[in-house]
Amino acid sequence: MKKTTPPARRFARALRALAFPTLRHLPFLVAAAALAGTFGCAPEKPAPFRIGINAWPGYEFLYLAQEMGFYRKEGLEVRVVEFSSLSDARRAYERGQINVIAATVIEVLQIRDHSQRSLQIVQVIDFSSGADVILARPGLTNAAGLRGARIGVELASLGVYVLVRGLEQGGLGLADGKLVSMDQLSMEDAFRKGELDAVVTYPPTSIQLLRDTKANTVFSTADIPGEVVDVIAVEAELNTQRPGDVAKLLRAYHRAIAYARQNPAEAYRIMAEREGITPEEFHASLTDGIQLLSESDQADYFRPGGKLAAVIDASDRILRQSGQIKGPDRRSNASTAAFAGKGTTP
Amino acid sequence: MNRVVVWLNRSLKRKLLLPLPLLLFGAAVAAVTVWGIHADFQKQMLERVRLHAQLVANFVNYAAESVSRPGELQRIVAAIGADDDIDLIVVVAGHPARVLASTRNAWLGKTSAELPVNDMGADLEAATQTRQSYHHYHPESAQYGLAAPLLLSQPGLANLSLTSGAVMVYLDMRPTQVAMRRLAFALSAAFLAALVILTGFGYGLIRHFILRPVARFGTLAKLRPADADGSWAEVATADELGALARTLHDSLTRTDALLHEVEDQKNTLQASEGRWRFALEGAGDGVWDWDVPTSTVFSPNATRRCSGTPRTSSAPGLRHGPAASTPRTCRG
Repeated sequence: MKKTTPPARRFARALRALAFPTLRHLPFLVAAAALAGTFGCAPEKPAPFRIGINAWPGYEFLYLAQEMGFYRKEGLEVRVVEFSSLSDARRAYERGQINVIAATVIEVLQIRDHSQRSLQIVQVIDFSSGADVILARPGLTNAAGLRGARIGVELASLGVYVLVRGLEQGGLGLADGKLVSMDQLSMEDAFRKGELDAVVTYPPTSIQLLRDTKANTVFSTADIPGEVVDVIAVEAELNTQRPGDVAKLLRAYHRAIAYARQNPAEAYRIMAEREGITPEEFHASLTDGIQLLSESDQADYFRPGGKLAAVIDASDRILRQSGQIKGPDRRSNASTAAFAGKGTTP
Repeated sequence: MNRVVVWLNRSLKRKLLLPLPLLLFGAAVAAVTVWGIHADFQKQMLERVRLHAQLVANFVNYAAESVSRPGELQRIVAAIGADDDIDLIVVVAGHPARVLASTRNAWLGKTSAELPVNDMGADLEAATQTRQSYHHYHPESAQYGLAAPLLLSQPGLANLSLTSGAVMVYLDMRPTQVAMRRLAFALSAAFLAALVILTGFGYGLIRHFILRPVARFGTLAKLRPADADGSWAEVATADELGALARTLHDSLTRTDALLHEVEDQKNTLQASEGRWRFALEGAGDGVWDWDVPTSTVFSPNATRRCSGTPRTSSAPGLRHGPAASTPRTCRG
């Protein structure tokens, strides 16, 4: 008579049979795996693009693309988040409220200095050639006259850069003026009321002040052409993980530019309404003081040692001199050429 | 019905699978439960969204009373409205009510009536005039709208009184709904997957511990002459099936033994009969076997020759008894 198998061994054998099932068990396991795979591990829908913009004619094409449904046509979920100042858009990026920002190189460098959320420039929108200005009350006609003046400026943004460059022209420094931190809408109100002697501003606020008051332009970016560059910057992770979607976003943006070229009346009406100015004023702001860049211009900016690198270097130097950024040098990878001239034009 | 019972009775496997409909019923009950949980989630979500919208409205109200410039209010509204679950915020004041601040710049300065969203202007007007809150849930766009009254400071004006106004907050419920649906879906899927896995596991255990041993009984019973004892040790476990196996084995063993005994007895009887026949043949005349119950007489050849009767004959031929035909009579 054979020796009886111990219960423990029998149980182990049973478990082994379950662990290495026969073909008859396979349907159960396949069903379980399919259920778990289909429902439990379904891929999450990618996060929508949230583009932060403030009032600036060059950024309006991103808004136009939303209003015309160009993002939707590209299969993208995009929301344009509107701010009333560059510094608010910058802060929103740092807080994680947006993942794409239309801003100047100055804000990009500040964000890279202040925040752990990495940001990369993917497209150059325009450069300011006179649109960013220092407006002064009647009687103040040049930058040298700003000594001791109450100057409204958006701190921690492009405004400080423009002010530094303007004061330099008058042989002054930041310490020579009385800086008043203020957003664009508030400085317009304060300037009208005579609470400020000068403001660092840009369209549409500058257009309204020049139209309604007897303000003098004591400095403009026409004196420093090519230094203030507006860009589209995207969270670095998105550039690496969803490059196709970033390309679609840029394609929608270029489609909006093309639409405005073909249908200027309708496009300018939509964009001017958001800026709070007339379509004519909007058109003037685009042609006088701003140089919009096409896709073919991008290569010049994004090539190694190109125009963008030069702007980044110059901006970084001035921001450090004025104490606007103080951290380690984070200029490397501040931009990516992955989307420059790669067929993003529809 | 009777056929079903017969069908069931034919297979232990079928009987074991009988609870399966109950299992399916359990799944249906669970599905209803999940639906109930989902509905409750929806209710709670609406309540939380209402509280969130109220909080945003309160914050805007606080800011509206605190700021000294319209631009500051616009800035605050834009910053709050940048959160991904806030679709839009609109602040109106004055007569007629105009937009003072909004997450949509294009709406600044428009009157309530000019706002392009249905019911928004009416809600804002109503909130301003009645000083009450109004809220709507729009399932088609997954938006929740709350219009609440507020007061605005009027710095710089000769009249220091506060201005009545209203704030409209639209919350985007899609992210919350998606998260909730995913959770409910994941719960249901996990439950179903667990049900399937446990069913499979349970069937595997039943198959391993019951169906296979029972099937093995039959195999062993068929193979029994070849392997009388050895393989039975496998199925002679300590449980009820083992007891059944042992009982079956014992019964078969006893049956075997009885069969052997009967066979032996038959052989012995045949041998005994052979010897008796030999003795009869050897003894010659006058010997017969009278089977009284059947009244049959068996007689050897010699006796038959003497009496003139066949080898077997019925007793009535010998109604005078054996004495009527004796060897002596035959000799004479």
